Amino acid sequence: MAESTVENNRDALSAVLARPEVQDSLVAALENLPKLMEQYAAISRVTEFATTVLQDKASMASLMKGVQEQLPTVELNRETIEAAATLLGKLPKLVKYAALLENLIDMVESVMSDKESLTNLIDGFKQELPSVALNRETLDAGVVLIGKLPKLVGYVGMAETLLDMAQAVLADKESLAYLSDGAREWTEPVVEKIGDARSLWQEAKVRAQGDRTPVNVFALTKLLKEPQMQQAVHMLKAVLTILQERSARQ
Amino acid sequence: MHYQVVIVGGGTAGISIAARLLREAKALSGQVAIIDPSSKHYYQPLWTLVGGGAAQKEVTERDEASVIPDGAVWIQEAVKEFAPDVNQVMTEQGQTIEYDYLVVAAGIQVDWNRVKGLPETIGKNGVCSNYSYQYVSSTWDNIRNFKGGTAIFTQPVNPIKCGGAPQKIMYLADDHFRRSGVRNRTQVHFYSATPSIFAVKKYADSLSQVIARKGIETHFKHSLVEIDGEKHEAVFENVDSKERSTVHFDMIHVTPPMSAPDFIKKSPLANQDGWVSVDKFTLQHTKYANVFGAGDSSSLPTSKTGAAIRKQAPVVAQNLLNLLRNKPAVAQYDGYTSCPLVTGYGSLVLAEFDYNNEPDETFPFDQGKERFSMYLLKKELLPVIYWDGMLKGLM
Repeated sequence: MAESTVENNRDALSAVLARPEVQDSLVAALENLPKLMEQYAAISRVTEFATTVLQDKASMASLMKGVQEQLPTVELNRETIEAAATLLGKLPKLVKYAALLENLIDMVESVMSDKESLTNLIDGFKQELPSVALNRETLDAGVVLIGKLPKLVGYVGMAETLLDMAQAVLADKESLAYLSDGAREWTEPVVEKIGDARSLWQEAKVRAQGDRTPVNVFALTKLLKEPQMQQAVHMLKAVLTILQERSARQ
Repeated sequence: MHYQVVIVGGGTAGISIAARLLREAKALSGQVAIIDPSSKHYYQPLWTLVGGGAAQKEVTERDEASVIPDGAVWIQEAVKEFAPDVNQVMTEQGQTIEYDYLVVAAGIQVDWNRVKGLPETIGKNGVCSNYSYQYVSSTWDNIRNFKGGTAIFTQPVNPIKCGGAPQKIMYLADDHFRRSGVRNRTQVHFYSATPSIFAVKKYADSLSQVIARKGIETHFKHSLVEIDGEKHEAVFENVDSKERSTVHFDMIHVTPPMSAPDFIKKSPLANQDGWVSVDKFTLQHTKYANVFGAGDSSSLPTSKTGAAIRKQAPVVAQNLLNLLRNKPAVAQYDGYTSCPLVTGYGSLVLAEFDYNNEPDETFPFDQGKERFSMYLLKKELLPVIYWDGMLKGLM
């Protein structure tokens, strides 16, 4: 009974070993054996080293001192312990997110480097939006634009308000009249003064051109007696005196 | 008759809110009703300059029909009664109007009759006031024809619209008296029931300097209670001691007492002082969630000005639309208000502050100083911003 069982098992093993995929696996394992042995030896060495260090109190003390010096002082209280516990609790989730992010970046990188996919994507967009010249530049710009949309919507809202307001003012005859009346009220006195000065100058110019009488000492003396001329001469005298005094001080 | 939104009052607040609602939600077209009996709409902030002879009163008046926003329905009737428990408003003409949401922006009531003898003499005997389109011309008549003597300017104790106006006209009058050569034989007195010249220290300091420079005599905590135009006598009462004194005047500018409109005072919407009781931040009624209040008729503890309404209107519109869309009323008003304090022809202190009486200034310079630029802003630009910005729901 026992012999026949061993015989049966041997037959079954031979049958399994005879299968080509098993033989391929065995060959691959044998080929990898040297590498595995190397890795095993490395792990053994690390384990042995760690055991030695952990048992060597002097080394451990030195190591801990070094770590303490390098790290900032951590106040170990209930709050930090709770925070650390929370962080540890979140670790699996964080690892998962990191993996997802990694996958996403890989996919984007892959798509961006896959010219065929990009071309198909762009062609697809072109078919849907025939009038838009879609290329990598426009896509990049599109992505940037989407990022700025919330801000742009705010600006568009403000511009719309201002334009509506301008439109309302332009359509409001009473407001326009009010604005123009106001402007006239403030500018009229200035315009009047400019007009007065201009007409005075013109009149004086005409009279001077028409005056052919000779300028003599008597005429100059008479002119100097005019109050305005007197004031101007006094002013000139005062300016000259001040200038002299200042230059003397310097 | 049923509307989704009923707005009581077609003044600054009512029109601004209606315009904003209709701009934000086109579907409300035909569903916003404005109830107001007045056929005219006034830009009252300019009345200070009208009284000072620096602006024409005609430019402050427009037909109410011209400011009703497109899509709003104007019901030209006066409200008699509110029934907020059944979402109804009843008019003097007997109409019952139902609503889903109600905005009460009915303005403030001028109580001329609360000063004995005032209704009989206002507009004559040297008694004038800027607080009415009808009488504002009488202020300029008195100022420009003044030949010297005692000129009195008053301010009552209760809240009034534009709290700075009683002193603005005094500064303009002083300026004009100097120009016309009568200031040296004139005593200018300011009788105010308030305890100080202005509630915000920064601007109070500036105004105190103006008063000192102009040589104006101030009498705080004094309220005008009686006036005899023919005798040219005014009776003032000390608000603390209740002691009364009779003062002679040659001209007197009266700021009349004001209060909430009577139909609000007696309604379930009113607080103990008669104003529409609203949350000071969300402007939602304290009892009826589908009722909002804004502007002078509301209980908001801030100065009652058009500038305050400019900041209240978007809050009411936003919160009302939020409720319509089943969202919470989260928009908040911080009590902002503004008072362009004219201190003479061509100078103005632009006071802007919030609920805490903290300055909340718009421009990047010290607005506590008297400035010509700010005078130009008030006289030339703010009227246009009002008609074409605020009333269109744009500013």
